[in-house]
Amino acid sequence: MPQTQAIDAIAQLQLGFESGGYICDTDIATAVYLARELEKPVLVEGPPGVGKTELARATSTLLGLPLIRLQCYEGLDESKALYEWKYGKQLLYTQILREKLSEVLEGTHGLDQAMERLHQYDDSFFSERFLEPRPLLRALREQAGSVLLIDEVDKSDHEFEAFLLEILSDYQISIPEIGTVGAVTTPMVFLTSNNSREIGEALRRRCLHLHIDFPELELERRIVQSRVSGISKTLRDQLVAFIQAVRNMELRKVPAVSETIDWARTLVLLHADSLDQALVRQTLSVILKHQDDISLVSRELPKLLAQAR
Amino acid sequence: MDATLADFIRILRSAGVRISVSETIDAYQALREVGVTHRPVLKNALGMTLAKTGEEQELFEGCFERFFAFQELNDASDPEESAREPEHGESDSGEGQGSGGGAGGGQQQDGELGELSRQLLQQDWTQLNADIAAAGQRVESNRIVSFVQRGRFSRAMAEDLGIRELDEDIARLDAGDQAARDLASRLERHRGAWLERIRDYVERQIALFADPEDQRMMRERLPQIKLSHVDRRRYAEMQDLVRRMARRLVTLHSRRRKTARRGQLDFRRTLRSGLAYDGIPFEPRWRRIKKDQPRIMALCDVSGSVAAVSRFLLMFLYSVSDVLPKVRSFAFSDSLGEVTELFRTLSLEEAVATTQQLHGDRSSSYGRSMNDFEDLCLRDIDHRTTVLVLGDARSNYGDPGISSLRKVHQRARQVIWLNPEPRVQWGYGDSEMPLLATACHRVQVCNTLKHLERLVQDLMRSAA
Repeated sequence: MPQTQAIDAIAQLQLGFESGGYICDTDIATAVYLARELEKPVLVEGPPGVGKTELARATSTLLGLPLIRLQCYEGLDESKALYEWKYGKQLLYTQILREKLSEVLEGTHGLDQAMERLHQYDDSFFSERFLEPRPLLRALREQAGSVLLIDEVDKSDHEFEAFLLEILSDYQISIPEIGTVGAVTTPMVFLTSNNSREIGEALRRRCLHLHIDFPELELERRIVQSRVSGISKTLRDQLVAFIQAVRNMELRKVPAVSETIDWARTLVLLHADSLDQALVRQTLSVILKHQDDISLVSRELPKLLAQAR
Repeated sequence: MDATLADFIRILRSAGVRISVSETIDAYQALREVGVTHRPVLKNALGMTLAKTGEEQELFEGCFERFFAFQELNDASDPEESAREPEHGESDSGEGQGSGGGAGGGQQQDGELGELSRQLLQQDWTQLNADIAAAGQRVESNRIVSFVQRGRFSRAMAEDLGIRELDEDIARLDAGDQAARDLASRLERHRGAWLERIRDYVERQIALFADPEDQRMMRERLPQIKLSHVDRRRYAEMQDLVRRMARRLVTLHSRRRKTARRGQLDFRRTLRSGLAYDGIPFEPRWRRIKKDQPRIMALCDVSGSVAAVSRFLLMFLYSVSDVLPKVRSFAFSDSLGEVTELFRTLSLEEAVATTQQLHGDRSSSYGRSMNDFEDLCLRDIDHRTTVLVLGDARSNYGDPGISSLRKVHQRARQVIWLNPEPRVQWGYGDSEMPLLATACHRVQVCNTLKHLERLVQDLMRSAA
């Protein structure tokens, strides 16, 4: 039965991610599986620092495909995302070829004939040779397929979002001078968003939607275990419990998973075996990035530590 | 399973999840991929293809639990049934053996019985349940929209399953000998249980389909109900609705936020970009329209009669603050005060409540309030400012504040007066609307969510 195979394949994916150091739930594995089978892009949402970008990286490692990353920002346009003509090279070539011009035009009479002759060379300046491929075009042209990460798509403009639609639904793009370029192998596309702006319906419709939240206690423990070598079990448990408790507080920015890992590494470097007040107070700046938050947490420190133990 | 998925999608839609045809196709494909055997995977797969925002995800979770719990309930009721069955089963098998060994006549009668009667006698509930579900699909019980249709659907299903033949069988057996009469009374008993099953099935269909449908109808009707007539209990729903409408407007209008090309060459910028290409103006740059963000000042009457409308106007204005960031709000009844700060610091609901507490529930004095407004911010009004006044213009025969409003009218880009009263009542009694209208650019009736939505949309359009 193919459907049980699907379940197996999803479990396989999960294991694969795990051996690559990316610990995840079944829903993430299911999303990746479906994205491959249905050839659909995945829109990954969630608070910052839960491993949205990391997911794309882990997928590329797992599938052995190159990761092509496009970081979005306000003002990003086609020439930076898709392709650009190498103006400099084109100009340089025209300069160099000026000498060749008389050779080419030898034996022509009158302007019409010369134009006619020149027309034969028209295309050479707008050929692929002068095309500078940017991430999107590169992803389409990758022979064996690729993992395309369009990072923080909510930071881009509306125009760019609309422009993505063609690529995401048909995996092809149009270059006026050359024609339509289709994907050699359909790339695997991840879009990430922090929801700093509402993303359009049209884009959502074309994607599978995956929401990643902060991991549960047990999952986060496993993440720390796999990412930070040489951490003692007591320290790991206390640290994760502490972080989870801090996340429940009213903070300006709650610590992300990446910050948990950073903190764990810091503590391992300091040869800590368990959390104590002085230690936490000194290293609090690793997980909290606002002074308000730090002062708030340090006031609650004894209570939080007691909880974590 | 395809029909089930179609039902599920319909439920999601009536719960307010927007699902397009292409997403439906995706869901079918995903379903074909992963199958139904593994419930969490099924849920993930459907969730990813159908629910595309956090809010929709929540709705989806609820619907999924309800819908597929019901599917499971069907399976789960079977073991329970079989646990209860033994007593039946034993007596049945006892009798069965008896009739098998003794009277061949009983079996003959069995043979004459209809399909349904035989299944009832055999207590084949698995089959019977499956038949009920199938009949439910045949009579389209998923089209049920209200609980009053309960009877009709149960009857239709029972008829579809052959209750006539069953009744004929019972009547015929009842006229027969003792053994036949026993059989008849047993059938009678099972018939009751069986009808109960059908009614349960219909109840569940109501819970699944009719209730969301009811909510959907309510949602469609709410915007057209007069705000002053809306029940206080419905406020939560109304707020939800306002949020939805606002979000739609925001997505619609933030798209036009970028300035438009006007086809005029921007000479300076073209030259500058041409520097890279030897001074040849290679990339022409166009002049762009600089768009003004409108400044809005909303004056809301919060005295008793208009309070409900004010509440939702304020809510609307602040829900679209992504697109209309420069809103200052003032509340007045017998005097006027600025409440912008409240909305900046508190949550929407709290701010509205506090406003009501600070300024509400006093009889309105337009003269004094308009004076206050003039003192407070006539200076700040310029050609970009739109002044909204929401009030019924009933000044209790006092000064309507026309002189202050005139001054505002002269300075502002536009003054829009919103009156929750219908047009025919303007000018009667202490209503000063006709007089005040001479100092406004536009006067319109505004007493439903639809009106509010149209107003805010106009404001945004003038912003674009």
